Amino acid sequence: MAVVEIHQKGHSHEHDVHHDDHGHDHDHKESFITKYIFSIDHKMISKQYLLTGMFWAIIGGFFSIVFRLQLGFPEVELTWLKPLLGHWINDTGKIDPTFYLSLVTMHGTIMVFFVLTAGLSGTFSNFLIPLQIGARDMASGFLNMLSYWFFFLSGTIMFASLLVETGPASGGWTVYPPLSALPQAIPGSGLGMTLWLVSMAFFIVSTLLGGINYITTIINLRTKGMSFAKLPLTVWSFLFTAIIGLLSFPVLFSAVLLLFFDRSFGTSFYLSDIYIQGEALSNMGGSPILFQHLFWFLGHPEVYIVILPAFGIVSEIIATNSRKPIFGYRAMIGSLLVITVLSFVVWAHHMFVTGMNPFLGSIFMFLTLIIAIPSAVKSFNYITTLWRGNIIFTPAMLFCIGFVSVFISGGLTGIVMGNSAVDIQLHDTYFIVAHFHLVMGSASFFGMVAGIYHWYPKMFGRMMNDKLGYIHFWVSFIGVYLVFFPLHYIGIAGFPRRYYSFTGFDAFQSYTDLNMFVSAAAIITFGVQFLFLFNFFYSMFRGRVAPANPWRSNTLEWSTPINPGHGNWPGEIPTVYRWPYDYSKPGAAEDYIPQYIPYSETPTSNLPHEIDDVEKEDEDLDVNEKK
Amino acid sequence: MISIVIGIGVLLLLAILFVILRATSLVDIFRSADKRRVGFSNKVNAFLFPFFFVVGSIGFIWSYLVVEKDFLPEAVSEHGIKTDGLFWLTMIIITVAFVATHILLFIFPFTYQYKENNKASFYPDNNKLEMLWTVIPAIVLTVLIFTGWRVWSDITDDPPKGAEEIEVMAFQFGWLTRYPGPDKNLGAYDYRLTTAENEWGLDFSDKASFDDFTSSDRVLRIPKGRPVLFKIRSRDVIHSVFAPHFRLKMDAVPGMPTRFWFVPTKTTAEMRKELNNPEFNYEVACAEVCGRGHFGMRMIVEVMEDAEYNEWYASQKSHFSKHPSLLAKVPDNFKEEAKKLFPAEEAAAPSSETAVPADSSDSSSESVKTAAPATVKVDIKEGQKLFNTTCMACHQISDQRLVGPGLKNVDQKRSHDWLIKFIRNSQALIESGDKQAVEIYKEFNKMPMPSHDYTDEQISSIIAYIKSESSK
Repeated sequence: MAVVEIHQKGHSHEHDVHHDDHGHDHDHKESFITKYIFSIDHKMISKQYLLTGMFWAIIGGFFSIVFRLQLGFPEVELTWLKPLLGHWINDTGKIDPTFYLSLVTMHGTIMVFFVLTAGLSGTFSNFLIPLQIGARDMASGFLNMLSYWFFFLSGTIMFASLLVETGPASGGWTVYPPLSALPQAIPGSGLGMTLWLVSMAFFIVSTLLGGINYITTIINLRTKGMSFAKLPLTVWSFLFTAIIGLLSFPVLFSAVLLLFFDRSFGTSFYLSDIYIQGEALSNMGGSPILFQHLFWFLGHPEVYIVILPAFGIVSEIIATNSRKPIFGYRAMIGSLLVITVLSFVVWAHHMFVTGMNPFLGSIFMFLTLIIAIPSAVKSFNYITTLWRGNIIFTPAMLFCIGFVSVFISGGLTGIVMGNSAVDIQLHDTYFIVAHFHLVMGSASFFGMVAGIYHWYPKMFGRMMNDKLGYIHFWVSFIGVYLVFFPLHYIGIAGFPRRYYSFTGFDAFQSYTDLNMFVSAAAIITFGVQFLFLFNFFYSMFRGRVAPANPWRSNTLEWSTPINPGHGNWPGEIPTVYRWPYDYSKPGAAEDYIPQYIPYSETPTSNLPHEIDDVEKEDEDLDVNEKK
Repeated sequence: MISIVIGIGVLLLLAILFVILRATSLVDIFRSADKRRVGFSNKVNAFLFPFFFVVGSIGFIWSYLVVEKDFLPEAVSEHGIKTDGLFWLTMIIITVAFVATHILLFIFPFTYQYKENNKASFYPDNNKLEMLWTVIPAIVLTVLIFTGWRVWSDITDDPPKGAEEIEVMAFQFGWLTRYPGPDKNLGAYDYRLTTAENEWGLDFSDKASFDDFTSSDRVLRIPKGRPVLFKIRSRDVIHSVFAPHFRLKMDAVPGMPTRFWFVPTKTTAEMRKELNNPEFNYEVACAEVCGRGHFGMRMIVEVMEDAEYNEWYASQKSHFSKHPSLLAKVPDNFKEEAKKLFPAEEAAAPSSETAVPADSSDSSSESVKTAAPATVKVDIKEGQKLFNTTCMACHQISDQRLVGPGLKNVDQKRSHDWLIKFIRNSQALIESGDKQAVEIYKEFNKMPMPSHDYTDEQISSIIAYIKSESSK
């Protein structure tokens, strides 16, 4: 009797918040524009993010190949790129040294912000949060749509900056002034830099709109029974990512705004004592170091914005395909929390040799090295999850194991660089390039690709070809090691980064072969991504039709129809009874028990404390009803 | 070009591969292999992980042995030896962690690959284990933090009294040094006073700047075995002084002078002997992206025996005394004093002169004074040395422009006299309205070439070297 009434209660509750009728009737008209372009459906917006992210990944990757050609094959003639790059390829067929700097700048900007922030968070937060917490859509579909379109606008402006005559921004992705503030210093600091700043401002707006939405949705729209302790780790990681973004991106906005003032309105926030091109500028009293503090106050949390969603995705996929609960669920959340907090107090480790007060250096070294502890906990927990599992190697699973590997390799060298005394030598050499390309570049890229393989059936209702996935993984995995491992050697030998050529120095005459090798490996690794793209688009139309729950996973998204419509669940949203990691539970019929199966239905597998839960399920409902 | 062909080849290969794969997956469906939970691929992938580990480990060790000989030689500064020690200690620790975790990470997929009748063990938690791998890294990191702290605070501590103070100023694209001179006191400066003759913006209302001198051949000389203090600043954008052999790096920030002190432990001569390379030089590079010529900001550092250094130091003439025109910038109350620094005939009326004649009178203070190139003694070897220390950062002897124009056959394009004037003080020549000079200046986005205090003989040697290289 009580149970029935509760269901009704629960139902009307749904009415209050979600306008349940959305779920029931699909007959309202959707035009092409509202469905595919100005969509407010989180699934469509997520696909928009994904495709835009992939577009930018190709451009960003291509740029890296162009400058790797210059570094690996300095004698090679690039006249064949002239149709594309125009006067940036000079008469002798070489890349212009200024454009080389533009390339590294745009590669960094595009990859960090457009691919690994928008492409990763934008895609998976949007797609998975409502599906995994049991919500019909984001808290505000309209803001969500705005968020994407601000991102699109930002991307359009950045793309336009690639086409201006003086070239795009070229002072490095960190755009340190005065270099970025003075067009006299480098042509890219002219119109290109202005567009960079405007583009970033819109990007920040987009991120904030998205972030507010993610946080609100996770806090308010969880389905019945979905307590925080039952959230999949993906959702936890998206929550922390959004919080970091919400707190740190506004600081970048202020940095960008002040730089804009310095450039356009003659203020001196970052400028002082400058004599350039025979002219002493009137700016006095500004501090370029101020910009670095503001920039890295975002810039460092940013690398966690990039890696945390990958943590979440990997946790989910490793548990599912090991057919085992994730080891140390609470410790995983705890380490995410610790990393989130620490991410805000380590920024100045990018600035050990800027002349910043050495005492600050000591503090930041201490805080930086502490981050290794939660990271170590995560790595060990991933490995322990594999231990005594029954592992199925889907392409997604392979990329997750690859993720753990590159995360460990890249993370460990962070311990070297985080030590301020050692950093004196390594700062701004290829060692740091190797470090962050492994730990945040490759790792989050692997996380993103794993996510695509894993949730592709939910996104497009079809399966990707797994054989191609295997080849994609092994070539990429071996490729990133062949590209980035040798860079450590080059860094130990002292080679500074962002050098157009090393011919001017006796100290940097070695390793021409090694550089050639790295470039060749980079070209192959980039090439194999087209295999992935082919697989992606081909499977969208010709892939095998996906079953409802292809990976036998526990989370809620697999309880929706194969092609979920607007509102996600046609009927009522399922109630959640258990955590998402009941894999291979002793006594269970199958090796997985989805979250929406009540304990009362699985008497053979319930653990001692869960037997009490069966009774509680009833009691809780009673209490709810009386309220 | 080869790389592109390879790239295209790889793509083609992959396309062919795909066709084959598509066929096999269709066959799989016919055989209803997809009904089974995993196929043969699972075994292959499981095997590839440990296989990758073994091959990767061999590759790791082999590649290390191959590249190791090209690492930098042992540090030549006292702190550098310590930071190197800390670096390799950390590297050993992380290599152990790397190998240990990867053995597990790559063995487990093989051992625990899917088997039809197996069931994974339900093992969600173990507080003891998790405690263990929280505490162990914590202990290791504590050790690293404390050793790091000690080294860091030693390095960044105040320099010992009597440290040899030298100013290193960065600009687009090069370095300028300034030594305090006999009074051991670097004079004040103000960036607004910067001119082509006064690149530091020396402020002559501070008497301490009268005797400041620069190393005229642009080689940064420092004494061995004594603490040396670099006072670092930048004139335009952020640069970073990076002396790899000394394990020294510090940003040069406009408006915020920085510093770095260290004790060099080996002279250049000793190092040449040790490496068996008579051409060896210590170098400074720029480590913070600063514009087009970032990769060319080279300065040679020469570590000398203390006595040798003192002798050189004493023999240097102050920048002020070499540039009489600067007397005009001295405030009236110091003028009399300042005049004493010049030979009598030159101090008479320097203030009315324009910059260009001032410079030609400059060479009169040098021992060699010749107008026609024919009578100047040129030394191609010397020219090469000067070219490498001074010009190479921005110029190549080819048709290709780097920061400045390519210099191939420049001796035929411009007159010898013009070249000497331009190299010595391009800004003065531009200001005097010289057509060719203004044209170049505009063509290269008004990027001024720094002035060079070289004798006619030295500049002629450089030109002779360029000439000899052009004909190669």
